[in-house]
Amino acid sequence: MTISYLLSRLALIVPTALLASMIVFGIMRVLPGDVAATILSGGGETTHSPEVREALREELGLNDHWVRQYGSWLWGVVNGQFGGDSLVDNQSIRSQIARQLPVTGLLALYTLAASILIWVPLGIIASWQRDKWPDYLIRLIALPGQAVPSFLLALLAILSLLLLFGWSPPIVYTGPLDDPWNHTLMVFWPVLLLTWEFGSHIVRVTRSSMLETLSQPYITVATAKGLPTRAVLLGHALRNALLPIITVLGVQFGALLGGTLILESIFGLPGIGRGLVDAALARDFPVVQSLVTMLVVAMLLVNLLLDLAYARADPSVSFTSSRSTAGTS
Amino acid sequence: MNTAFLIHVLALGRIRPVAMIAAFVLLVIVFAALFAGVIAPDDPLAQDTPHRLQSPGDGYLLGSDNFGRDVFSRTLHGGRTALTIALASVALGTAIGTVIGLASAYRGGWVDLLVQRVVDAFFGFPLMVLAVVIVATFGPSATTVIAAIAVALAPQVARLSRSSALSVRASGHIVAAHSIGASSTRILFRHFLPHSLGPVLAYATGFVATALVAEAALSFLGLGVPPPDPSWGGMLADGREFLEVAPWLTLVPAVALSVTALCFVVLGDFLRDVLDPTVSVPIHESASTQELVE
Repeated sequence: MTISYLLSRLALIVPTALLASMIVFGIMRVLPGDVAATILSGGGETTHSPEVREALREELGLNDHWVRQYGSWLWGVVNGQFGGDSLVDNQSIRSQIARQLPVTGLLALYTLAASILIWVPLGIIASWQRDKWPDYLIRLIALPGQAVPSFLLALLAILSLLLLFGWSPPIVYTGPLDDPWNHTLMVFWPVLLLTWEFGSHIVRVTRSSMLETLSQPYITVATAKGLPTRAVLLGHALRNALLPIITVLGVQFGALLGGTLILESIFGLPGIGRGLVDAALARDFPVVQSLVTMLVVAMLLVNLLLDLAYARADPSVSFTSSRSTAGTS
Repeated sequence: MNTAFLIHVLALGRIRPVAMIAAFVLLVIVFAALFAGVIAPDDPLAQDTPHRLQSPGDGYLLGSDNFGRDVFSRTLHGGRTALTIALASVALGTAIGTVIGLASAYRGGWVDLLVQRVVDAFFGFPLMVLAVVIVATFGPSATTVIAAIAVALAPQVARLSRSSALSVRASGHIVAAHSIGASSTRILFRHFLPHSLGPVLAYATGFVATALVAEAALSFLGLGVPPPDPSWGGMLADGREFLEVAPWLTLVPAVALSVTALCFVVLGDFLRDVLDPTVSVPIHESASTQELVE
């Protein structure tokens, strides 16, 4: 049953991703005539002859019927080329993704792991010590993460590091295996800031969800029969408080991707987010289309994983009805 | 708005003084932005080349930038741009989203199913990603930024208004309206809309903070209001090169943006407690319970 549910959910990703790619395609082709013009004027030329523009349109395949254009992009995706080549430097999009995906993937992974390992326990402590100083302290630490956008925190962090220690993060990115120390220095600050922003939502939900659970009669029973606090908190309360925490992970994952988009540009990390911004600024449409579609697929996959975790955490969530778990999708 | 409601609000204000402070600070900020032209001591675009990168104090209240432009005046005018774009995009996004959500819930059947799949597909896009794509395609300008943020926000509003409309769909007064032969438009706008308006407005206030940050992030990436017009994100991006010699170029717009966004978040939380009877918990928790119910 689990397998068939998993397969049907995986199959559902395809139409949603297709629809998403059509939306991106639609947005970018609403002004068909202007694409070539924007590319030309993007290069600094303000005036260009109609012939030049026409030649470029022909070269880019913009004169084809839009079905054909979408079809050729889609064929490029299906045959494993991730949508063909870049318009700007003719590099294959596949090689670009192979280069950039690990950077963003690692950033997101570090952030998810750090958020769960640091903020969930903090949320539990805050609920346990409700309205005492640990609770206030934890909520105080979480507050800037909620209110101040991570790119502002990033600028302030770079500023204070520079002013106080005369130190700035390394400029050249290296993979975790090539030069672990440089890699750590490079990703430490963006991950810290993303964790701050992402985790502040987690701590808030963990706290309120735990508080709700802790007021239940079975917790009183567990305490009354003399179970140690740890067992009550982790064994009885946390298990039942997990669902909203899993939900918020999914809801905030998009914001996390949006955050990496900007932080990569600030910290000079060569990831998908920076690739997307660069491609968007250069109006490199096939690249934008492929990267965005990939991000959407990543979102869908993460939400699918969370749905599975959801069912793990709550035995009453059934696999047979897709509606009952659709909340996180 | 009746007196009982006002008393209710005032009582809540006593319990939640932070919300009242936020509202007051926002009033000051909105006032400063509205009358930026009068308050600003300088033309935000005027370059005073001999006095570049002046520290705050001598001649320039909050210093001058690398072109010798007054940072205080630029922050005020940037605030006007930021608030205009944020409010306009939230108004547009909320209007589109509400109409889609209500119509979808009202029609039901295959229309609802189809609309929800499209909303789901839009929902798959991280807000910033969608905004970057739209602005990059249509070229950076105030109008595109407003449209981009509105389109990115609309699906969230659509989900919200749909779920609140679904909860009243089978209730007595809707059935009664149907049975006396009221038109679809009338039922939608007279019976569904008032019910959804409270929660939607409460969330919309919080969305203003999201829109402010998105606008700043877009201009920071060079996809906002084109220079030399002042915008907070643009000022932050320009100030980055001078972090070491002129930190105020970064600090001033950073503080302006954070304080404004924070006030909208606090006020949004407060309004949600007042206007949405089903919610008595913080925003993100409520968002998740909403989805659990769905």
